[in-house]
Amino acid sequence: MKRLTVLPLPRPPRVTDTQRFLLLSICIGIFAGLLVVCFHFAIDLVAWSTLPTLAGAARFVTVLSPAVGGGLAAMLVLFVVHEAAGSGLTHTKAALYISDGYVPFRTVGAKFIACAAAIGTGNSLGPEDPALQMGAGVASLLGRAFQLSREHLRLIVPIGAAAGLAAAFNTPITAVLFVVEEVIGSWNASVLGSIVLAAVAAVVTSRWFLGNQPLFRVPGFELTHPSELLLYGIVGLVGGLLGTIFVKVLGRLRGRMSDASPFWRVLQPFAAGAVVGAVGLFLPEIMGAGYGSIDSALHDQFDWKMLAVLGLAKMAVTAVCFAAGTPGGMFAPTLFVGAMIGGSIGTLASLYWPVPSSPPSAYVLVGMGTFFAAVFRAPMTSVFMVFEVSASYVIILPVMVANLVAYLVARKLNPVTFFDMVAAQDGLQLPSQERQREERTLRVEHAMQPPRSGVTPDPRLPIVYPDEPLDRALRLFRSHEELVVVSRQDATAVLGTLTISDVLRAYGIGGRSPSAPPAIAAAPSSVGRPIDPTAAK
Amino acid sequence: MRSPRYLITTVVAALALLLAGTALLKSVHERVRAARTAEHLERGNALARNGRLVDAVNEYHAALALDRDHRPTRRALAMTLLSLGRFPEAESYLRDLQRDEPTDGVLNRALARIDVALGREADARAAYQRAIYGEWRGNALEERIATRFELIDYLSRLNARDDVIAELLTLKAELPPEQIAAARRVAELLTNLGERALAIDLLSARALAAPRDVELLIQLADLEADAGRTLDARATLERAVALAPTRPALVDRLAIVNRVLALDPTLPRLRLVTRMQRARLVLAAVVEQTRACHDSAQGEAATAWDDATARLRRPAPGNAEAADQDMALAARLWDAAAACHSASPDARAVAQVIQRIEGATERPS
Repeated sequence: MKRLTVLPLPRPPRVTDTQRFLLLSICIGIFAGLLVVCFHFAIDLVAWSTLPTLAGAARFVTVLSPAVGGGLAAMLVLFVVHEAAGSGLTHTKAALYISDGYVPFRTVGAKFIACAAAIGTGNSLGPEDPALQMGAGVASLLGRAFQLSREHLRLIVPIGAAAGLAAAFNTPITAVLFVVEEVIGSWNASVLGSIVLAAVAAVVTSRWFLGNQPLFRVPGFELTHPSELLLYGIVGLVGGLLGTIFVKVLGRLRGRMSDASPFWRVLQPFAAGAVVGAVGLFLPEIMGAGYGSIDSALHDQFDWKMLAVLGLAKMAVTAVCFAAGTPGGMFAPTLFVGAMIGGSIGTLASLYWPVPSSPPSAYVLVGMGTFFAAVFRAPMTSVFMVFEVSASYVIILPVMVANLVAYLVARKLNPVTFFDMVAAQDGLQLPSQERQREERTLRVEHAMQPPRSGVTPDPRLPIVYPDEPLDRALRLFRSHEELVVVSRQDATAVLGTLTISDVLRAYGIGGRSPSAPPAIAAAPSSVGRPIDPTAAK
Repeated sequence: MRSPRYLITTVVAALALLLAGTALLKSVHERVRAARTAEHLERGNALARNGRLVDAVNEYHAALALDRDHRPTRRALAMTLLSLGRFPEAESYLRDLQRDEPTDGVLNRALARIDVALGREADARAAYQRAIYGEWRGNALEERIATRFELIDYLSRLNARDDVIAELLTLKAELPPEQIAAARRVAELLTNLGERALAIDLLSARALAAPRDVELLIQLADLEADAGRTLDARATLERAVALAPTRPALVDRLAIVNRVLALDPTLPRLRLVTRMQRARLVLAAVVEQTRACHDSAQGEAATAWDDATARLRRPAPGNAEAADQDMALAARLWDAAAACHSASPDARAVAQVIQRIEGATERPS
């Protein structure tokens, strides 16, 4: 009998660390997606079993539901899992910048239960920010389970955050942009691929269960007249003003409420819920996240007065809920307020604007982004969010105009962003992403000295280019005391020299640099700024 | 450190567990949602049936808050909003629905009604056409016909005569033989627009398909009589009388037609003497019909009556000119004494004859 020859099996392909990390990102996306889907179902089920519908049920239930739901949820985060209290984004940033990517998993469970109870019973808060934190928590857990290095553990938190947000909003681009704008603060290629992968995996998972529909069904829209852009600018202006007022009032209210005695702090969420319920008796649309009402506004269900009243009422009850410490996020309420204010202006325009204008639903959609841009100061996110939730490309031009105006107005009127304010109130020293974005990078040309006449630089010295960041030049000083600055066009053309003292002068250490422009000299120095934890090493 | 295999197994197990949990939660979610949505929809429909449209809208909104994609609710809401006259709101829902079902007849007709209400003429016409040629559940033919009539009504209000005729002709061509009521309505509308020949043509064809429809035969006979086709009218009426011999309306009509046939001096191929006799008979009949008003007659009516009676007292001259003069005088007196016209069969017969005389006078010889 002929003997079979056993051939050796081919060796499995070697998986690199980067590939492993990308695979883990997909895994995070799927986990976060599933968790957020469950969260979505939980909120709905709580809402259906506690909240009376518009058409009936006892009125006292409307007042009691949010009070009891919000109060119990707040007690859970106040007494059991304190990490789940407040803004999810702030905690996620704290995990990234302070605790090396560590997010305790009990935070995820507590956030899930508390926010489902609070939002489901009608408190005026949204599910996106908790979803973001839950995603970060799942990522952190997986990262710890796979015993990632400290650096990778930090990296994995924004990946989870993006996945959670993407699944909650059904908007992968928005989630990636928001995490880049608000969590990381810079476009970092080493983590961007993983963030995108996780966001896509999360959205695919959530769509598997929730369907492919965009968040809102948007009626047909077109820019009917160029003068309408002026109207959109007005929407942005009003959104910017109201956003600023909202953040300032919320800051004061939250500051005062958090100074209250422990007894009153426990009572506050109950009282806030009762306030929401009392307003909800007359304006049931303001209860919960409010997506249904945005949909109604998109379908011209309300007149301009009602839209304005709903927007202002939502602002008030959201501020009360958030300041009282009721668990939940601010994304959905900001979209609600913006939508109603925009819709109100749009309805007025359709009545009084001298030239034909777009239907009010277009203004609802555009308005949505303006309040968001003014409150969160994430301009790119606000533009793409409207584009993604509406699946309408035509809207992009008005959205850009309105959001830019809102963003600029808010930035001019209030130097502190919402997240920076919340972090400061929570006693956390986190980097301001807006400030980081606006900081001008110091470059070699700002510090270099012209070549000394008659002296030829040593050709063995390392060369740098005038447009390179000073940070890079600093690294070269480990082995050399002087660097030669040459032109990129002609490497033999010496433009100047650079010494460590030149660099320090440019940073404002040891005397102001004469070559640095005043704006740079006045800007906060990058020395002493928190390091970018996502920077590749 | 735990082995990679252990870690992967744990992760896969956790994933499977979470997946199962999500699926379970989804099934519960779906069940509760479907039940509650159906409950609200049912309540809304009941309220709408009882005329409580605003309450119905609230119920529909409550259903949509549970399931915003629930098409039956969206449809019911849109239709109720339309009934309430909340056009922009209704339109917004309808456009959403239409995006997924662009050929749906009901949706397009509802959109057409909104376009009509909001004065968007071109859009309304297009939407009606989409509805007519769209898809209908249930009795599609009836719906299409009803929609076409709605479009015709709208075009009539716009005084778009040519478009109305075009639609009526399309309907005439597309109507199946059994659609007698619709055909009669088309014929009536064509008649109102002065297209009597087309109406007769349509009803004649239908009369062949439905030879026992007395109402159809009566309408056809009336049209034939009005068109001067008195012999055809008599034949049609005789068919109708054979089917319903005891109907007084039929007997009256037949009497009128017979009287017209006996009086009408404009009938073709009459001998001159007969024509002269008939002209004199018509004049006498007109005098008889207007006698009741003579005492109160003034102006032209009085003059014409005096002329007519004077002429009747004289023997009739034996030439064609005298016959024409008799007819012209009869027409003059009839028109001048319009207030005296009664609804008796005789008077209606005289009216028809005068109409013919005037028609014959206006026609170029």
